[in-house]
Amino acid sequence: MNKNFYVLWILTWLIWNTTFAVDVPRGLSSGRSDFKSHVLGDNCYSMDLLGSLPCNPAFLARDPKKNWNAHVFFGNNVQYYKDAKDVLDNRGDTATFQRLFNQTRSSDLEADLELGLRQDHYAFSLSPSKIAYYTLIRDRVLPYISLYASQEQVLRFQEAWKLSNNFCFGIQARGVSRKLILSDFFLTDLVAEGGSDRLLNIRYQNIFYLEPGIVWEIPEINMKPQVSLVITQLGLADKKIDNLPVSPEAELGASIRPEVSNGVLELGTHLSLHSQSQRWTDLFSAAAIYSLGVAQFAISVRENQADLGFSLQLGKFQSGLLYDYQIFQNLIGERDERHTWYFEVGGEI
Amino acid sequence: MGKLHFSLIFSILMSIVQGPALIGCQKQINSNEPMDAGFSKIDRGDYEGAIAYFEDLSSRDSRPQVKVALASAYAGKAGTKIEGFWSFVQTMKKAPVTNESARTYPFYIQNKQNIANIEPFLPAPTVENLNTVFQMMAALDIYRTRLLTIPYVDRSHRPDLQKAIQVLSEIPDRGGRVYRAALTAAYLRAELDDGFDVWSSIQSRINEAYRNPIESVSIFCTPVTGNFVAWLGQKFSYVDSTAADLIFSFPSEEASFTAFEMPLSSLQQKIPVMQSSLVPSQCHE
Repeated sequence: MNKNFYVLWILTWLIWNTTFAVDVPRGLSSGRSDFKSHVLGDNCYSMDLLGSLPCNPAFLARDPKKNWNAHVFFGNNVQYYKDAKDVLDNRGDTATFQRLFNQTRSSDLEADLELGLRQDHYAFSLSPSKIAYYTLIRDRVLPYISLYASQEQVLRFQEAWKLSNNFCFGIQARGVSRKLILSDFFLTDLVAEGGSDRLLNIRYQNIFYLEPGIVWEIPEINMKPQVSLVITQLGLADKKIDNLPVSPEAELGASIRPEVSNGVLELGTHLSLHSQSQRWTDLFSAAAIYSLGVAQFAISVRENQADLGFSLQLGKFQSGLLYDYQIFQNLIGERDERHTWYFEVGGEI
Repeated sequence: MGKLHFSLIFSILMSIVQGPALIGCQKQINSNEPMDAGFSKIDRGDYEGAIAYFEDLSSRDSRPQVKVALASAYAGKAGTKIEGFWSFVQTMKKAPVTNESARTYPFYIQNKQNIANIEPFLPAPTVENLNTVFQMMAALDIYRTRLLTIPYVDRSHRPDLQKAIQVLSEIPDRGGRVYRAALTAAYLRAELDDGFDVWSSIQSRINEAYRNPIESVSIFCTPVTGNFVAWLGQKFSYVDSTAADLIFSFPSEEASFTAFEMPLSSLQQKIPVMQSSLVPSQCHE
């Protein structure tokens, strides 16, 4: 065994061991809110769709293009958001409570607006307001609420280099300025004097990430196989916040493009090394993208979750519709399922 | 290069193999809130299991939240969910009754006028005691009107509700004390409903006494009246502890809750004297 082996082994081991469980879902606290990253899931790091900046910065060198783009992304659970906000603002009525507290699962909401610029091998994007909201409510007698609400401004810069015919390297610098509420409390804590000020206290966090990625492809082979690796969440925060750790994750993926008579088909599989999974099978996922003219279809599956998306590029305008399906064990130990629709509208010049 | 690829693949495989063991630890960290297991029992309706779980947890975990969770398990067993009276809980930061509001309450004024008509036929302490009873009943009636939004808890479930109230006594947590005050209100609402049934029979005796002043002494001075006064004293002690809980939870409202509590306390202090003076032998002297 050589030195490289030990270095790599230690690195992968560190990725497992420096990450801690968080109550806030991984996608909400560290991910992106757009059509591409939702429909492909972690496969977004190893496959690329139409739209704004790629998840893996190395793709910039592989597909250089110039454009300005913008999109708005949001989900369909607006009623939930309204109910949760009413309760936290001390305005909830009995109907609100019944809707909210008889849920046997967590709920979340996210929305984002992103503006981006791509210039061949580099790109910028700015999300002036990315909103995430998450609640987990247990105890139907006296609700015990875990709440995460955040508003982020995210600035990304990506640059990529084609190092050889089949090897691209890219790096993303990402700055996140986040104001957030992260709290666990009984509902009556909120009513007591000073409760809402203390429990809904807004905190601030600034994080700077450096996220390198590589793509290794073999275009000479018929199916054009490619392998990619991205290290994400490699960052420094000005303030440590429990349950929101800043710790590295590794995204390893491979894909092929089998020849089809019409359009382009890409099939990929992915391994995501992070700490939030409950079982090792959660780490694996697979996805397919099929592009035909102005339309793109995408599907991704992982254990207990599937996403199906359709996007259309009409001239300068782009729209996407995404259906997310999840099966899980709910808070009372029953098998439960969740259906969520997401929408994205945008355009590029 | 070949060796490097082998190392990479091997180390990834090692991580995957390690995965389940590490995830096992992670699961514990993930459920870093030990109360979750008890909440899950509550959400399944297994209140006995939740009570046992939280009893055990509270012996190891001194956080006030564990006591609140235990109280919620007892409350669940009593069928008292906060969603049923949340609108009431939201109004708790204001004192419900003042001495003044009780004295201007029509019920009190009416009875005070009527008692004046039969005053010559009654011993002075009895008149005074009856006035006190009217004032207490007026206060309770005002309070009861506010409590009516709370669902009624039937008699068989009230011991569990009392247990929940007891678990939260002296808890050093404002939210927990708000919860205690809310549960006490739910308990009082049920008890007052029953008590007012007895009161209506006493009120009809009083009305009869107004019609037959000469017989008023024997009408008033019965064991029923004495027992009712004892009951009244007991209920006032709940009102008292509610006021203490609310003062703890809303310190800036202390003045208004004290204004609510003090007259009631002074009324309550008269209970033993009233009780003894309303026994038949004392009444007739």
